[in-house]
Amino acid sequence: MAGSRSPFTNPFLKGFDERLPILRAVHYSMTKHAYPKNLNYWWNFGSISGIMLLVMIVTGLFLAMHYKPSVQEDTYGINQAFRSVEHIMRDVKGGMFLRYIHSVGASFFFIAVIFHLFRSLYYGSYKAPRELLWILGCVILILMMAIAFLGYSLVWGVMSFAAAEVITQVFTAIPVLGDDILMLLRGGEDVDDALLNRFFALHFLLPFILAGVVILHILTLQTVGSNNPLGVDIKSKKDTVSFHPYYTFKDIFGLSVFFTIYMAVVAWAPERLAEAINNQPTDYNLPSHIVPEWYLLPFYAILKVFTWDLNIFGLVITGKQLGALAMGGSLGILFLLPWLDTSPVRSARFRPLYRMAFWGFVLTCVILALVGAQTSGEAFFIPTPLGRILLGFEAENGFVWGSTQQWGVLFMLYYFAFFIVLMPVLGLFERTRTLPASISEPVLPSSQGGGAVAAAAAAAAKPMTKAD
Amino acid sequence: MRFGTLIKTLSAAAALMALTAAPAQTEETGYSIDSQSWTFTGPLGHYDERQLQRGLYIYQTRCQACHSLGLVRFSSLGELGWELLEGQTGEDVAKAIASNYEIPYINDDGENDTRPGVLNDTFPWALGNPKRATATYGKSPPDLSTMARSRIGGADYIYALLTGYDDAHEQPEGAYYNKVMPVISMPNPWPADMSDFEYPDGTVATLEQQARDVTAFLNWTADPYLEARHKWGIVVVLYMLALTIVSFFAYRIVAAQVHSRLEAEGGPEPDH
Repeated sequence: MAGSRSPFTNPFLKGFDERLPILRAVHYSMTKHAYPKNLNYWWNFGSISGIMLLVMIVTGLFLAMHYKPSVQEDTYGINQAFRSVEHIMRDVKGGMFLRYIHSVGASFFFIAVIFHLFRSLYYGSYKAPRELLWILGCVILILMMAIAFLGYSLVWGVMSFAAAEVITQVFTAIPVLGDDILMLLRGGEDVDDALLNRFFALHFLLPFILAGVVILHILTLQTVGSNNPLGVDIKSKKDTVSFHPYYTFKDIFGLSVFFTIYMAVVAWAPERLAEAINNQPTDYNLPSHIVPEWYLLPFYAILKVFTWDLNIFGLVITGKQLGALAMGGSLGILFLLPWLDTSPVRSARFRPLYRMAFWGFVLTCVILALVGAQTSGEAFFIPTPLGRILLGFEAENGFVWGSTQQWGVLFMLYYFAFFIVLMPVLGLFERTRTLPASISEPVLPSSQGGGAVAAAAAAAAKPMTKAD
Repeated sequence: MRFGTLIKTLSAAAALMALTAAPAQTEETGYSIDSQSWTFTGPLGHYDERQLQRGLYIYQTRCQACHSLGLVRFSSLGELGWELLEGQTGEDVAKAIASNYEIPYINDDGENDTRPGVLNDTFPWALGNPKRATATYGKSPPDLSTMARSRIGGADYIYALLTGYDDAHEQPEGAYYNKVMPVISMPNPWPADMSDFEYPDGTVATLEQQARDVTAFLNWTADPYLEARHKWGIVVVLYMLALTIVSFFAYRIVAAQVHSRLEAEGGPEPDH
């Protein structure tokens, strides 16, 4: 992809580059590679995610210099792992900032990646030729979830222990091999010192593997090129722009907005996104109400929604196995997405039905998160702000309707139906709007209404535009 | 899905994040915890040092017979803004407080012994260890170092719990009644008659005042560097806001230049 001759005139850079042509590759991708010229702000979250990975690795490295993975308890009944985290916060210079930048950073890393993922879903960025790009993204998501879970366990607070206990238990749902896998994960029968030490080792190792996958993700992107809000391919040099300086400046602006919010949370609400009870060292009793970190809630909801066993002609699949299967399936199905979606049109801008299905899917993830956060078997509670958004009216302290079970099953069905039913069927029957001939052709009026006049004007100017 | 939509979606996401900010409720009873006004909340929230000193006094009087502060070093007490005598430092005050405590250790003859506390020690536990505590009370009283961070509602929760006792309620042996937690194994820390109890600084020691002061103190033990973080936050967020504004205009200028160049000659040739 890089030119055969070094683009540098500085003797040092030129000499270096002629021996290891890595600089010319970067130079090429920044200045010569063709990016679509119409990428909007939703495209900022890729680079933000990359920067967040760096922030996490750098802060994590310094935290690891002070952390002690030991469950040994002192005379106060406080274990050494928990004490070392508090030692970082109280005694290490700048330690409180390091620790909160890291723990809040986990949430913000997920926020960036979730926006990035839903952007991909909305604009059809997973479709050919970007299937591998999408699959690498799915690998990144699963690695992130694993790393976040491992890191959460390291605090060895009340919820750390519960998380380690419950999540390692999930693997016993696997027939035959389950117990051996459990032993392998825990390093013994119980959730104990051996588990904490291997979790620390893995929490240190996996981010570097993640970084490797991220590099593959970026290399794939360089080969297949960026998708864009219109979802039509680049046709000519009229459609393109180089990354630098246009997108470098756009990314710096987006990154600044993101970091302003991130830093404000670190300063004023560093514990807001975490479970309070985890600030207490574990006494090895499970708390009455076990919840994971917010970014794992939808999957946790799917895991615990099955309270019944399935009997197929004498072959019994227990509720626990169903839950584990469904949770695995909810992640696994993402890998098949490029082949489940039958529509040749990428962008939801031209797919009115898919657009509704998409927002339904976003809502599904929010509802499943609420289900995951609430005690199963009890009435489902819709908090006031969400009630206002969803239902358009307010109740004093939120309101209650149905059980968490019912909401969980209903929205889990939508989660799977979105991929298995809507994706293939919509592609076959949906009447899509006419695509523009290219990125540089006059763009269709925005989908957000507000443009009957603009639409008429555009229709007068060009015979293409809307089909509906 | 332009910038406006992005902003709308971001604010919807912020509203969802605020879900957790709904009034704190205790799990068992649904009793909702009133939020109190504290000096340490808000963007410029800071501790009232006099209040922390009073809170320490209440901790020493009413809590430390059962509860430890195993993560709080005596040296940190030097920062509580004591009124100092000529030539005295905060560290001297902290040293004096530390020396009042007996710290268990193993002496040169290998025997269990105690020595006066020094700055580097943490508040000792009167009950010694979890096993002895459990043997004595049936349930080990938790360490209070991080208590204000480990309950939903934080300081408001602790204040509600401390002021929630009602001894008139019938309870089984060894249990007490509290509005926040109806069956609680922690006894009412307040004696029925506190009329002759007073603070060293002369503040009127009502039950609410004592509860408020010790809660503020426990918030400090859980989050001692809150003020530093708030000050840091002001500087960092103002810097980031400035960077946001500058980078926005820089982006607009670059965008205008790039746009006119694209109009004239187009962008890079796509690789086909």
